[in-house]
Amino acid sequence: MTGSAGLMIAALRKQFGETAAVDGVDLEIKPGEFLSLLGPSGSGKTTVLRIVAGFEEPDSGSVLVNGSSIDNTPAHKRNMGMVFQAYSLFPTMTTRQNIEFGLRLRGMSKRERADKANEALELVRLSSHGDRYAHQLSGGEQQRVALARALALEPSVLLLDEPLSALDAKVRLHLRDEIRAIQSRLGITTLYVTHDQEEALAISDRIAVMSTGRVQQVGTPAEIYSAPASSFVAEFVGTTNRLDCRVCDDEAIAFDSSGTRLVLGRHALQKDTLMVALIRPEGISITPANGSGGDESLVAAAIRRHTFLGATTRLELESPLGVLLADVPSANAVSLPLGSEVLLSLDASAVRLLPRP
Amino acid sequence: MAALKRFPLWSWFWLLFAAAYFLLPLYATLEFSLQTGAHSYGLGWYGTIIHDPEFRHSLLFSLRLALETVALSLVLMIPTVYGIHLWLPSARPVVEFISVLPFVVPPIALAVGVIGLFQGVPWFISSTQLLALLYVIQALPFTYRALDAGMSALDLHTLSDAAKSVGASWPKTLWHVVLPNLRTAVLAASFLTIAIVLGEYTISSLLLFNTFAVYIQHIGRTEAYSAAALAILSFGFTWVAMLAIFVLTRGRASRRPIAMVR
Ligand SMILES: Nc1ncnc2c1ncn2[C@@H]1O[C@H](COP(=O)(O)OP(=O)(O)OP(=O)(O)O)[C@@H](O)[C@H]1O
Ligand SMILES: [Mg+2]
Repeated sequence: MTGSAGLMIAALRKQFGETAAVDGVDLEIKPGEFLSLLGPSGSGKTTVLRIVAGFEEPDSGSVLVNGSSIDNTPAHKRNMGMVFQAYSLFPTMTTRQNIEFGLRLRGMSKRERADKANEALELVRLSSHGDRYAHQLSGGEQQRVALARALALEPSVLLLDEPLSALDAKVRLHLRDEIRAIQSRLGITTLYVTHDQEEALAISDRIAVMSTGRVQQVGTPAEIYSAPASSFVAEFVGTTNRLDCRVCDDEAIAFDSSGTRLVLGRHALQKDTLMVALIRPEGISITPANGSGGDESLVAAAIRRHTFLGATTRLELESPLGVLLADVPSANAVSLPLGSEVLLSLDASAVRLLPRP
Repeated sequence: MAALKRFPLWSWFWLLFAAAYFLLPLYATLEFSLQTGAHSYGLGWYGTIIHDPEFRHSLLFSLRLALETVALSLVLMIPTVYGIHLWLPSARPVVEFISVLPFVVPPIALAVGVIGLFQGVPWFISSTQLLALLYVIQALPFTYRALDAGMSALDLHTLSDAAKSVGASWPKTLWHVVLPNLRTAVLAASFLTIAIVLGEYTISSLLLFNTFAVYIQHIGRTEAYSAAALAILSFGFTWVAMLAIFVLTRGRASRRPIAMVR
């Protein structure tokens, strides 16, 4: 349906009064790629997207499509499809008229317009809703029509700004997969804004994690999750335990809180360097305490809380290392009642070391 | 409970009181306009008015002026209010203040001021275009407020961005996307403007134009019975206009209640 285009964002900056909403963002999105901008509220995701769309002018920096700058192209000539967080269908037009509006502006014949609209409606599985007005559609349907409206124009780039955030959980999950399926089928270059890390991990080819107007890390969902470049990324994406530590020799670290040593294998870090150890809840294993003792890598802990997550149960543990979160299969959690004493061990290969800021 | 029971009673009292307040003078005027002799009634005075060529001239003149004023007001104010909402929200209080100035500045001051200003261009002072321009100013409080309210009810930013993203320039956005949503506001602004132009006396008499209001005034001073008939007639026009607003806007609203943000 569309020839995909590469999108490049170079050294983008945008200041609103005192706040640097976008503070030097560089991104490259390959043709046909689905890239998510993920970050907490106020991190500048929407601003980046609006600059790409041409709704906002950057203070400096450039946006390039297929290598050529579109900085001087006004928004309505950029040929970018956009789906907004707020419902944005034109209220006086039916679904079909909404989709055909852009085609009409391009001077397309009535027949051609109808064909394109049908195709787009079919794409979002709303063929039977062509004659409805926005107020006769559910929130999810409105967003699907908005997507169809954007796609009917065969845009070079598709921009989505938290299109699912106003929808309830079930619809959100469903529509998220639908968006991804359509995107893959059309092979359209897509920039997707979300503050929901789970959504970003599930839907993206790559994720750019943003905070305070900057991109903290760009990578595949697996890279972002298992090799976070900073403790911000580690904590924002998924759940992580964060422990201060120092390098004690050329193969081990010691945790500040308890002095416990953990052997990680050979590394090239300077002795006594202050570090942060990040470890995911699934990187901590639990065994019931049975007084075996002796093994220095085992730490005694007490279970303070259970959170049932379905297949796994998250335990909150109080240990000399501090309060830690650990995931165990729910079947095993039954034998680990609240208050019971356990031994925990940290999986050395799951520990990620970062310099302490 | 007792208070609740008494409440409808008092509502009825005030309703009837208000109705009497409006309807009694109206009835008196109607009765007076129908008197053709000491104890005889008829439509004679209405005939006199309707056959007076001045009646037709002044009414048509005022209607033409009203339409010109409406057209000019809308052409000026719709893009202005749109622009303020989208690009210059900080200017809103200022424009709001300017829009109520016609309430503060007496029409006579406006007229005299304009005459002074355009002394050197006599053709302009005697042209009907000048009058229409002045009426645009007189109608400003109503035009601005109606349009402002209409646009405030829309998620103008999102709609405009959405329109841009499908390739509409701002004038096209205004025309195809925003304006259809402003039907009620535009109608309200138009009818209020028409009412103002039809009723405006000070400026037109000062600038020596024979508008409908000037004609009413003239008849009122010279022929009491005809004046009553005329009052009833213009009251009738107003009602027809009101009814037109009601019918035109209701037909639309029932088809498409605005449900932008849930
Ligand atoms: N038009 C504006 N005027 C002033 N400040 C703005 C404007 N738009 C954004 N900002 C500020 O810029 C910063 C980044 O905003 P932005 O909307 O890009 O964040 P976001 O990452 O999209 O957040 P959210 O997840 O809440 O949508 C915020 O501090 C915000 O207050
Ligand atoms: Mg945002």
